[in-house]
Amino acid sequence: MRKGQWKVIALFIAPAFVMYGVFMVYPYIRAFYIGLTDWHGVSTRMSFVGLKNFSTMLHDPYFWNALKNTVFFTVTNGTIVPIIALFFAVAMSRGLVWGSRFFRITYFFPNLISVVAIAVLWSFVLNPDFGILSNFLRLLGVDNPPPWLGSVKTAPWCIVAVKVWAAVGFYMILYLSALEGIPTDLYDAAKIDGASEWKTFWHVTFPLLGEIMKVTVVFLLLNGFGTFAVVKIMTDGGPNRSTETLATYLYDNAFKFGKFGYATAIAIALFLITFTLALLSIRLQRRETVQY
Amino acid sequence: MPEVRGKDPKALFRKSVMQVVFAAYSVVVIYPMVWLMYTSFKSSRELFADPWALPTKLHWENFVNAWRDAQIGSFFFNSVFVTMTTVAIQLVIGAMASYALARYRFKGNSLLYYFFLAGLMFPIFLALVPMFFLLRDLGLLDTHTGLISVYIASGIPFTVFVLTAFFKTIPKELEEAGFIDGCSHFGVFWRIMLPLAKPGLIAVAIFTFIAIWNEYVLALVVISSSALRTLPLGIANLMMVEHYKTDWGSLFAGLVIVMLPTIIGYAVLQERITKGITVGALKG
Repeated sequence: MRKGQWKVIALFIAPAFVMYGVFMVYPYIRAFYIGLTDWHGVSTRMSFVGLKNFSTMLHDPYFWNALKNTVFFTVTNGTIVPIIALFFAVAMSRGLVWGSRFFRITYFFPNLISVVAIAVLWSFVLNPDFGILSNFLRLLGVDNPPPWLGSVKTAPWCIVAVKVWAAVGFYMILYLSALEGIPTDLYDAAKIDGASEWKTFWHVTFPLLGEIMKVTVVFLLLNGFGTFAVVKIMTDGGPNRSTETLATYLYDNAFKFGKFGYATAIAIALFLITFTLALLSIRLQRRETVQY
Repeated sequence: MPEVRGKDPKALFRKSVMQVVFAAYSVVVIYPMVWLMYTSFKSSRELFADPWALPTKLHWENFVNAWRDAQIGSFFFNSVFVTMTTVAIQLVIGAMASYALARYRFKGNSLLYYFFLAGLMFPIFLALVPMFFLLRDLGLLDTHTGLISVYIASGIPFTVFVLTAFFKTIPKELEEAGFIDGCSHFGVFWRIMLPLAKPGLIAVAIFTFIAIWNEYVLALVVISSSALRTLPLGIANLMMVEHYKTDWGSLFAGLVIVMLPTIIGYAVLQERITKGITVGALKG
């Protein structure tokens, strides 16, 4: 041990520790208290109400509606994105398309743009008057294209489509790099056995991707639970609350209606859901590991 | 059945179908952006008259209006300032902490490491309300300092995670040689370890840069003055609140300005960015 090492260690760690402690850890810890109060933002009027916010939540139809929508976005996100991304990745790595380098670069691109820019861009694309989607359908002979973001029926699916559009390329690249790690002699063996492309996928490729599939699906589920910016910008939860998520609902409660205590209680519920999900996934991952 | 260079017609057909699917999806990805680009040179009237048509003349005034009147210019410089400052400070303090955690054995080391990592477990929405009032009490609400502070803090778990792993891979001998040559602890860190950790630092820098450049939720909570808005916040506000007085041409131009740095950066650093982002995700 060198002399004065404690001082050195403290000096190295202190700046990060202080920043992180003050601006992250402290707010997170404080949240668990604020969620138990009826706080409306004026510090003198902050009384402890116990679990009252949570019982309010259980009887709040808007909360259940937001939860339902959030689960919808989460489930669609966690299934559609991996399926499309895996399809593209496998097709590329098995050499089923020409120009895979070009597709790799273009498909990845949406991942670099800010979610905000994507949301604004798609608001243009989905605009009922000048948007290219409606106009494209008119070219195909559809007289009355749906009003996309203006209808309870189509708006949630538009949000799903935009989230998928934004995420597919990234997961495709992840799967591609995992596929590169699979030894080619496994494919050769499958070919000698006369297995079709589909059978090779199910019996060779997919089992070997088990680990990364699980990790990415969990990641997408967590991401789905945090759906905020796309909704906030494209529909602001509407029409008729059909796209409102837990995150937008709690944001509105806090910063539109000043119900800070209630908003934080919703955030705690959101945290508990995602935390449970993360713990479950860790347990699932421990159980089996595929080796090659 | 005749085979063309070992390929049966069925395989060829399948490959063609695949090719069409891939081409179609690339149109879905690229066309909205191409459309955005050329529409940004059209007037609102032209846009409504025929959304597909190319501009009859280049309405550069859209860009001037967006940059000046819609304040995209000032949002742009706000974003540059906030992002650069965040990346710089976060890299330095994150690297210092990671270095100490990776290279010094002391009591509570791993406890501290997990303390830093714990931040990855919590959704940012849980922190919004307490963070808002913390900044208000510190007088940092609606300031760039406040925004940068929460950005730095929120990036620390990821930075520490990646860089600690990175510092651990660097051989001990190099560091010891530095001490023998009479370097101080900080000298060894700054002159020997940091240059060796360059690939890790670059990956973290790219990842942080993109994350902060695009960040929306925290900016929405912290910033309320229009003069202080960052690009994502500014463009979202133009879109949602003002509809930019239905001057769609300028709104399109504004969005082009927002996306342009990313497009140029991607064209130049394509490999590196893809790698930086995926490495970040694989480890995180």
